[in-house]
Amino acid sequence: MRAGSETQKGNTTVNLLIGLAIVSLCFLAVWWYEKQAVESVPPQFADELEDEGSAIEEPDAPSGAIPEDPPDTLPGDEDEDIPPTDTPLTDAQGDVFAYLPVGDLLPLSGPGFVDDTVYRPDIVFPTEDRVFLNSQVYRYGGYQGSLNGMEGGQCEIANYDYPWQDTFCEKRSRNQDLCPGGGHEGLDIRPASCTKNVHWAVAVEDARVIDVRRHWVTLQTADGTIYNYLHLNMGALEVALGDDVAQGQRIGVISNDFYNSDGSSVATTIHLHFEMYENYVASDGADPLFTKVNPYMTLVSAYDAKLRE
Amino acid sequence: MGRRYLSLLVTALVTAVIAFMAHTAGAQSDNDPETDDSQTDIASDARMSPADRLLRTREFLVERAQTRPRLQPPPIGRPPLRNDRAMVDWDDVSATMAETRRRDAAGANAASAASVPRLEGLRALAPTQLQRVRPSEVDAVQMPVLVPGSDEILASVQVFGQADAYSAIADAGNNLAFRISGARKRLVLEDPPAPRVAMERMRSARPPLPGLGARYVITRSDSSTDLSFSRFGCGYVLSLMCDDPDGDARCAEDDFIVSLASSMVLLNENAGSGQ
Ligand SMILES: [Zn+2]
Repeated sequence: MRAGSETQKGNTTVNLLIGLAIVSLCFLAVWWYEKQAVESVPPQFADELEDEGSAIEEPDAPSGAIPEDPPDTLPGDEDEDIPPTDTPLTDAQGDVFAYLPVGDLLPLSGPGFVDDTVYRPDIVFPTEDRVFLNSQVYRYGGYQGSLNGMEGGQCEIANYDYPWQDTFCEKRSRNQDLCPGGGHEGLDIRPASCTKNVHWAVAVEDARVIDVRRHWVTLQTADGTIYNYLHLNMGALEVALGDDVAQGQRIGVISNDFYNSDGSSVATTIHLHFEMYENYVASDGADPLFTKVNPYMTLVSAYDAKLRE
Repeated sequence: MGRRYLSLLVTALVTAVIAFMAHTAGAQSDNDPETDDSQTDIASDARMSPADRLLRTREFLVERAQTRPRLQPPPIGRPPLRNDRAMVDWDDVSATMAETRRRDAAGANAASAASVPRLEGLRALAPTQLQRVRPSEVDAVQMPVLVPGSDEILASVQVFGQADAYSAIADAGNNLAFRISGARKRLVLEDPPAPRVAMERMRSARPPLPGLGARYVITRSDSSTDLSFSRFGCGYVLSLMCDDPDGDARCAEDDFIVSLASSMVLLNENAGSGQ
């Protein structure tokens, strides 16, 4: 009985070992399958991954990674029954303008605020040159850039590229009603290059200059809409408090000015922080609410119009 | 023995399949945008290599990016239905000021120190009594020009008026910039987005401002703490710009901005007489 029991125990051990080996093989297969999937890097990013982390101080013209390749139109390919294939809209440098939907913030960067309202369909875009709307905090040069594997300086060439991303209700330390877990009620606009004091911000509408202090210039239109321009070069503004400005008129150059009330500086990246307040009613008969709104789709619309000029 | 091996093999395969399915389900929930910003994700991300995080970000951008066709572009977003110019309820303006006067008089007549006149309410003040206000700026405005009655604000306030809108800026104390803006026109939104509807609910849930009786919402961001309310048919927003918005109680907490909004002076008492 004892000898038989030991034999049985030996058999059980062997069986268990074989079973474990099979399970391990299955897990190995699963692991190998997933590894293969992860390593299939989209070709347009292969280059960027190689020099990941390198900060380029003064980039040349950004390369313009194109999320959707323009369709090939080889001579002789056209079929008379099929209308000519359209191509995506490009900017002045020939780079395809691409943008993420409103509310699609970078991973781990906050709740966002999905609002597809184009509050002011007739504004002009607030800058003269092309720009890149993206995060100043959760990308290269931002203190949370590592969350997205974007470790490096603000001048990293990938910061100066499409697609645009919404940054309204991007996560900050505070919690508040409008953006639970958010706290950034504006859009961050990176100028065409990582050089301050050369790219102009312009008035989006005819308006009055109603505030010029510390690091902001504020406009109000005859309809009441308020536009806030932050981080311009405050020492070289083209407007003064109380001025009437015309749509498209230069206000100042995009910089990284950021001041406390005693005049001491706070560090920030070179960008225009753009805000918009609207007085609106959510339904007929309701009381109006005059608050910051997400200007993302208004700016997408204005940029689209600008690129078609 | 053969049967035993077979049963073991089947058990092992079933276990592996279950493990694989569980793993796949886990990966799917990681991609759920609803959970993208949770602290749990940040904790689990701590185990990812920088290269993997970058790859995830790149894939996210490629998957979501959209472009605009050069020909026959579809419309972008949704414009507002219309832009209305509100009727200003000047009778309500007068009634609110009368109510404040009545309370002030009652307070002044009260013998007890506990019944000193309350600061809340709406009182008229001529722009000529304010050092930095140009009366022509106030005269241009065809809606009630409201400014908080705080001594510090009134000492430095400047007004910029237009027919259907105005703004006033001031210093509201040590290291604190202040602005109030009003608008008579309002955009009517078609099917407002859910967060805007949620804001409307937040406003209804709060008690009204003492003295003015208006419902309000407070929002906070990097650049300002804002209190928005509507009264007499118009929309108003007060903004406080603190050096340290999270550390300065005047911006981080509600009391200070609520007290400013509860005690207003009206700079154009006679604007409604011709309307
Ligand atoms: Zn910003």
